[in-house]
Amino acid sequence: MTALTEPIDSPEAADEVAVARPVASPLRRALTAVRSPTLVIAWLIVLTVIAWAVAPQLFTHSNPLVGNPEQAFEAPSWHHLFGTDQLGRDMFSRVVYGSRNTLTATLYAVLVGFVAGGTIGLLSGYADGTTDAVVMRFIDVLLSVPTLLLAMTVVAALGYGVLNVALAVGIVSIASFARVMRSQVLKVVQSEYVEAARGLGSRWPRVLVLHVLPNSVRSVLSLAALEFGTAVLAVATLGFLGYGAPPPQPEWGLAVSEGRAFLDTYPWLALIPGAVIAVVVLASNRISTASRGRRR
Amino acid sequence: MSVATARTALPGGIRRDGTLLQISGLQVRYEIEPVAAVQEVSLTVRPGELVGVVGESGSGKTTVVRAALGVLPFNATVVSGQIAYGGADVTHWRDRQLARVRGPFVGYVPQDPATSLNPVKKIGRQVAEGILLHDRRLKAPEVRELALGKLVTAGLTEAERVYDQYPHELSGGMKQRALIAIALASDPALLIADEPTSALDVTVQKAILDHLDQLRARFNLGVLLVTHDLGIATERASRLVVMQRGRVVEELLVGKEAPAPQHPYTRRLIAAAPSVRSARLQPAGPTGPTGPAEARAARDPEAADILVVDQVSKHYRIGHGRGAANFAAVASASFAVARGTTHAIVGESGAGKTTIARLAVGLQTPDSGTIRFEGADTTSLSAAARREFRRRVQFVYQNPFSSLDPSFSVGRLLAEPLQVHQVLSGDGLRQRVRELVTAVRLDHSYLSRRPAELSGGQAQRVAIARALALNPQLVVLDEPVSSLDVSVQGQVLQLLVDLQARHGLTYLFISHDLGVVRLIADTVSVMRRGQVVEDGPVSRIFADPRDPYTRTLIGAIPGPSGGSQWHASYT
Repeated sequence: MTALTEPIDSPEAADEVAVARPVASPLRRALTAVRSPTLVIAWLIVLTVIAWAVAPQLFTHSNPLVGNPEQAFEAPSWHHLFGTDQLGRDMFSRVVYGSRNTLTATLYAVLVGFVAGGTIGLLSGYADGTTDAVVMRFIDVLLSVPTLLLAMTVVAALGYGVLNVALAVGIVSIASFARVMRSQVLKVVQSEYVEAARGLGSRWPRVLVLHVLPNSVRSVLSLAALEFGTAVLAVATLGFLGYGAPPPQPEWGLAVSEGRAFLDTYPWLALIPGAVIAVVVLASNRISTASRGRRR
Repeated sequence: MSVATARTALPGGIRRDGTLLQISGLQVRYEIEPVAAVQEVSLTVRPGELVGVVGESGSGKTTVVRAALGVLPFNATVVSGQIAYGGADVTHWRDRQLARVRGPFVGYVPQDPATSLNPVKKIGRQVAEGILLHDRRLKAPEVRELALGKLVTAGLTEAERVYDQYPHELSGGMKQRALIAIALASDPALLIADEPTSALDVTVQKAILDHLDQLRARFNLGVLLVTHDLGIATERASRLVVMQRGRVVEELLVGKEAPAPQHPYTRRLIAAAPSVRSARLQPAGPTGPTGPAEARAARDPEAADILVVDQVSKHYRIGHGRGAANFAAVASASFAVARGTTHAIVGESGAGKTTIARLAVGLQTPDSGTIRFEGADTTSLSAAARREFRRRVQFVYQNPFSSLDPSFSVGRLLAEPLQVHQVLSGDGLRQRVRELVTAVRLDHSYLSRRPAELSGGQAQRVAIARALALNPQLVVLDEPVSSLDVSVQGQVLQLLVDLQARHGLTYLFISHDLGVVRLIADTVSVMRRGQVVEDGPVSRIFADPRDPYTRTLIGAIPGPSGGSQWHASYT
């Protein structure tokens, strides 16, 4: 009788290996990334700003808090890259040190939104119809309140300070994280591999953590990159309004606010920190679109 | 073809008589691929001739079709060679020039009728568009008249109704006919069809192919038919071009007698084609300690049936509110599966096969009737008994890429069932995973791969290995080979047969393909519209089909009737 199967090293088996799907190597992926110069620039900007926050002393020798009153209101020059303010403090140094306050708040804000929103979305998407409906109507209410108003209310309730600003901005972003996570979870839960896992006899917490979460978290990660930009803006806004770090601490939003008084005489005091905020937000948006594009 | 006389001359001196399509020495390369996708391919199509291009996925047949139509993707280039339409070299024609002969000279029938029609335009408008593109002087009533004629030509008898319908209102077969009508819209001399029936049921497939054949004879059309199914190709084509890895390995004339392939690849393809084989596959290698099913059944006739499905029905609600209707996916179906054997359920789409499979493994519960596994009613199991049931009954899905978690490696996928049921851990677990991957004839290097890095056949083997991890008694397979190439299909089927012999497994095998069923099953139930119309041993069903529907199904299996003799001469 004929046997269709040959041992493992048969030509047929070899054929099959040959048509196995190609795998994109990390190197190849890196090369594709280089093809987009704007993406590279965006990464450079974000990494620089993060480096500022981690080790500001490496980038500037001036003290951000103590100035030389004799050098007040100097225009940007090689010596003072961003000029000096009314107390003669080096603005570049204040921006570099200020990134720590702003970025820490931003990071906490995104973390709060990602973890809390992601968890709500995950459970809501996996739960039965009634629980899902109740949770999602609550999220809708959260979404319907203007974000800045909500953030200001939360800060007013919690008290001023960088961490409270972070918490407020984070709470505001919970709604969008929860929505995106839920929509992904709804899709993944319908998939055959989740059904297969259930059919195997797995209990639901196991399925949720091992199968649903890893397969739905990706798009939420790209939302986190997008939220990063939004959160920088929100933190700076609250700082500008005076809810964040108290003076004389350096903070980007606060710097814009302090420079506002001299806008017509020494415009760089407000414009340069403003430009830094804008550039960082644009860069993180660029990264976020790229990470979304890579998903299938 | 009344308008044929009024036809304007084709540009570039293309002639409708003589050789219609001549591809010579064609080489096509994709931007990033190191090897050309198509190398040194030559073929010709003459009027009234059906030329089949056969090959497995990755053989370059679709690239040839795209090159022939001048619609290669932007990252592909024709490196060398020539494509000629009706004697005129069109290799370097620009798109605007080619557009003038697409329709009047060459018509194209795409693969997937479900996605190839514009969903927001009525069928009639889509046919009319093809007519108007090449003759703008026509008045609206004339166009309508012509379009209706094309629909009738394509075999849509209720053309008036179809003309005003949207694609979603038509069945798959009707959509494919509508696509043929569009391809015929401006009376082409040459028709290029890329897998025109692979998304359709077998009986519909037969009807469509019969119709294409009639059109060829009636209008003296040249047809280039691309297919992965050797059965279809040998049955329909007058000449056969066999492709492997971008090259033509053999060109065969098909006549009344069996062709005599010289190339080993062609021989292998023919040997693997399920429609050409007729006997059940025999296990190769060691047989398990349990012995043949008949012997065990004789010892204990009571326990012969492992799974008994009795008068089972399952309804689905369609729509909402007042317009809601009950649709019976399965209506009072009964069958039994004997221990150690393979029972197949065969039928076309909508027959309720998949619902039966899902009911059998407990993924759904029946509305009425009982399902007994090892004598116990599966619908009323305690939690502990249900867990035990899930260990002993395993399910293999049709598409491994959607049923294997894409974020898991093969090793983790195979370990998961053992971890869930806490059967093994540590070294024992690793050992068992290696055993499993060897059992499905993959080597250990695959353990670290993800499903996306496997071919279809490899992924389906992983799915089978996963189903075997817990040493189940019953494995329910839902169309496990229908997404695979024929030669891979043969390997997977043989693997299933071997595993069955070694481990004394019982299979419930769901398939739309009677050809495949004949290779693997002992008994079969033929289903139609939720009901079992006929059941019995496979040999009896093939030798003496009693229900007319069974006869239609058997008649629709592609391939010449003398297939079994063919096969005998190749092995």
